[in-house]
Amino acid sequence: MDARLHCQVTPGQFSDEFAINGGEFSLFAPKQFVEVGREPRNGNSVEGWLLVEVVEQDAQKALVRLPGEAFEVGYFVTVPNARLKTANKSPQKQS
Amino acid sequence: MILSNREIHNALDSGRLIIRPEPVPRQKTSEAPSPYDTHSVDLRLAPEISIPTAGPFSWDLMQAGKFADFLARNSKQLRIAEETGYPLEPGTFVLGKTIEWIELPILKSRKHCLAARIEGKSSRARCGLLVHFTAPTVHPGFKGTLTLEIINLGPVPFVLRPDMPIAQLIVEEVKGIPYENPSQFHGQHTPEGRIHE
Repeated sequence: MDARLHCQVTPGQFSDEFAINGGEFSLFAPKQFVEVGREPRNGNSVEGWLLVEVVEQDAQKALVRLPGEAFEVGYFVTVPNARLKTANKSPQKQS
Repeated sequence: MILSNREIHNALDSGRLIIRPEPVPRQKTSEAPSPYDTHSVDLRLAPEISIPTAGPFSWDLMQAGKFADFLARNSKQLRIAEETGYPLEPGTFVLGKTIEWIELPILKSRKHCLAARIEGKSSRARCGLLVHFTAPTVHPGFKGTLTLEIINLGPVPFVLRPDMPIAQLIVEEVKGIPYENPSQFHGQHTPEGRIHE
């Protein structure tokens, strides 16, 4: 099941990606996987929602698979359910 | 087991492997060479590269949550001009990426899934160019373009040009369907995954 994980978003190393700050972890993710209200500018982060796959979940927390490898924790991280929302769309694929 | 070009085509047709745009032609024609070798497919260099900048700091992966942003802020994006290319100086390191978007879906209805490895091309290697030096593996479940760690070990500049075949993808079958690593969840006492002493 896909979900959206709340995160802070800044520009990535390439124009088609964002740098994601998930609190305990960080990664670069293709823009297709990130929902933002407005484009982040250098030096300023914006709030965003990262598309993740929920692998396991209980009443308080969920194990999610990230769309890329985080520098600190690899592909999987456990997050509080409160930071997740339902994913309302799949990422657009590059054509 | 490494997939032959024929099996790579089958994997593309069945959706076990997704490459967008799909490399064409599948077989050599009088007008165009094929990007498929006997058991690999060539991938092309995207026009944008990222150049890490030097500064009075160290890369420290222990900056929890902040490292990706720190790395991005200390890198410079550059679009390679088609006419001139980008002369990569000897001993210089840049990040590039493939034009192609790769997906290796884990289809639970199947008994096997695919992984892949990105490798350099011998013609470029002869000039001293490395396109990866530590991270060739593309894991089952991966979706995205492939980031290339490019370094010129040769004695003279190597000109990078957008669209040039820069690397080759070797696709392998993974026996069985991998676990989604649930062991990382069990035994944790906080949502952040820390286990109290």
